[in-house]
Amino acid sequence: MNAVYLDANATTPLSREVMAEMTPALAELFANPSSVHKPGQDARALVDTARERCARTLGCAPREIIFTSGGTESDALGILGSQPRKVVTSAVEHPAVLGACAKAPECVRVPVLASGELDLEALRRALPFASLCSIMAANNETGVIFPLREVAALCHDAGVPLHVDAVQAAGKMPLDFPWDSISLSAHKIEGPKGAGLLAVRGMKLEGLQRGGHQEQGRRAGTENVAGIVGMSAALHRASQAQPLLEPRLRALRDKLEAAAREIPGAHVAGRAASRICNTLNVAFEGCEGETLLAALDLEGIAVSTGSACSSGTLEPSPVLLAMGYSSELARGAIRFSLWSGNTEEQIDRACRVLPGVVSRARGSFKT
Amino acid sequence: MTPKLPIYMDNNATTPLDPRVLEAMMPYLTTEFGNAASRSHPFGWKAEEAVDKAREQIGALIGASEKEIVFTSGATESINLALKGVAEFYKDKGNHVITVRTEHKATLDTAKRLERQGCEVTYLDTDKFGLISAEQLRAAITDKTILVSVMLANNEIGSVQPIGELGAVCREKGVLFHCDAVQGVGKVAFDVEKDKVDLASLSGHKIYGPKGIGALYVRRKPRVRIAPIIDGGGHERGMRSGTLNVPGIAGFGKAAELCQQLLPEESHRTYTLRRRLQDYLFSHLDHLELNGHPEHRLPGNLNVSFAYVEGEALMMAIKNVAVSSGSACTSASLEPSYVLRACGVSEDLAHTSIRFGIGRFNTEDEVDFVKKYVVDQVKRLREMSPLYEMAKEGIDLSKIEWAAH
Repeated sequence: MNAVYLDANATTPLSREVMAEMTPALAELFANPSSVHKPGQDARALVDTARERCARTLGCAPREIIFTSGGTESDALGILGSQPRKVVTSAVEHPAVLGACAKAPECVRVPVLASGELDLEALRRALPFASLCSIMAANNETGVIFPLREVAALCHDAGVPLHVDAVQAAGKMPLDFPWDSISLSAHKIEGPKGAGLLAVRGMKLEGLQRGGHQEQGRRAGTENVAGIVGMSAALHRASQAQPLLEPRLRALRDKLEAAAREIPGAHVAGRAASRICNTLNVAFEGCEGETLLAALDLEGIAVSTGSACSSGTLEPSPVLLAMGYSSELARGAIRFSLWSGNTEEQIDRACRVLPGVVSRARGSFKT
Repeated sequence: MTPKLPIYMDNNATTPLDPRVLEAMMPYLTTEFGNAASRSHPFGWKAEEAVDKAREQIGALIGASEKEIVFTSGATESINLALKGVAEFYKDKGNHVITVRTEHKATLDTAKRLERQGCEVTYLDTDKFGLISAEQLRAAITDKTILVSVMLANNEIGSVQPIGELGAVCREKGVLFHCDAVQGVGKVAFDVEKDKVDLASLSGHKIYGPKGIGALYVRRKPRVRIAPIIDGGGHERGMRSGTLNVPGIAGFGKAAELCQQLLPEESHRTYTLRRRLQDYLFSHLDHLELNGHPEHRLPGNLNVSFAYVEGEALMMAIKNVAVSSGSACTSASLEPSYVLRACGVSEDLAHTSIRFGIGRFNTEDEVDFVKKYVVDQVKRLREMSPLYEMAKEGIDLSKIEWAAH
């Protein structure tokens, strides 16, 4: 089966170039970077180079980079590691952020508008006396981009440090907004699973896992050298490719969106808001998202209803509910998310099968 | 024939990836790239199948069911999760934790953190081999004790604790038992049922699997509960959230399967090689001390103190062999090994200790090269050592009053 993969916000294939860079660390350069002997120092050099490269890409100092096991750990470390008393976040953050924020003594979730945009006035009111604000750069389900310059200005005025979950934004928009800490994941940008980073500027962090001097004591444990090399290669590659990839994916996404909107009863989430180039979240009235997915799968098209983390649950998306969707409409939502490997032909195929899939799903919903 | 240099003989720090493991990982590094949590398409299903298979392989190695395996980013995370997770979840039951002075830093640093959060921690002293006894553990358990954490095998000196006897005491007393099995699993017998272990931490990269992947075994019958450290998404039945590292997991599973298949033969082989090295060193050099238990130890681990040689100088002199003067985690520091100190080794002698970790890919030729090389270099260094001359003449150096300077 030549399936069309349109679930890039769940994960992306590992790029061959990234894999090629990782290969030495999976073979001859296997030693523990903490070992003082020559093989250990060779492994250490790989980690150091990767750190410098990530720092250059993000415009920070190498010592500000902490390599982690992925986006979820980065979020947990960025939020809980700062030991916040009161944390302000949005209602539509990734579960990794919401899960971490829920452990703070006080957590305020700022609502979003029906457009999917952040309620900046509510954010401004919530910020006083907060010890941390955590806001995502772009939403994983709808692709809606939050205005981080304005968020950062509000945080600055209130004297609150800003953590940004940029896991879904990376590679799809420039990471040129201000932050005090930022979470990234490798496998969303054609890097390896099991690798991520947290960059931290001028904020004191307590490590979540103890037991070694690694990452300046902020993240103990033998470094995943291949994963770290993969993270840096993927980030570098994504930031280089982004200016060209963004318009190409946007055109493909817009084509798919136009086809979806021709179907009666289609609602595109965040249509009026600014969105990352690859994401289309569309709800079809009178449909079960799960039925749509199954029907699309039969057509060889891989999509999801929302975040992979909640995949398999039949609960409507909390992100769409926060935007004021009814449970019924939210249940009819599916997410298409594109990546660099998608072709015009693939999108044309998706456009062709979508109307039939929706009408069949509606048929099964009524019976 | 001189083997290819440098010779890697530091398999307690990390092991090379077995080519068969890399082969098992390759599909998941290329075409089968799905997110194991994606339930709506074959990309996700294939990833989930790989994860399920690995759970079975790892479970089989330690006598656990696949449902009892929680994947983590490595053993440090597993140990943190076990200790903090139990302390948090059972805080109404008690606040006393028992561990041992010679445990890995991941355990000791986490225990220190628990102390700061109001736990009481007992650090058991060991005998000169780094071992504790069941009686000693029994005496330390109080009605406030919720957790005992003891490693299967020590990472520096290789001593293997009597885990089954310790587990029996914990079971009898109704106390949870966590075992840091990182260094021992796949090398010595370990079975969570026979050894009555409730939680066990495992690492991929110590058993010829990839770095960045580990597991925590969490017993289901009777059910052991832990509070998660990393929350959000609900992966791994809520105990550890985050997208699963599918290639890492597939590799870890294959590594576990290989260990299980190879265990008796490989243990024998690495034991034979280690004895070859040990016997040669001890028959060609005097004033050596074996650290760790002579019998109850990892088959491939040899930790020796070369008296009257400066440890760092020796490391430099034998730079064609990648060995370590302690654990990799503390090797950057110039402090003498706390493990050796806890075993009663003097500071001077601790400074002269070298750990050889013989593993799957070491050959007899390599061992023969290393044994002669080390003997030559130690002799050379000792010829330059006035202390060694004095010791040979029978002067007791500990009785000398050195001039102050």
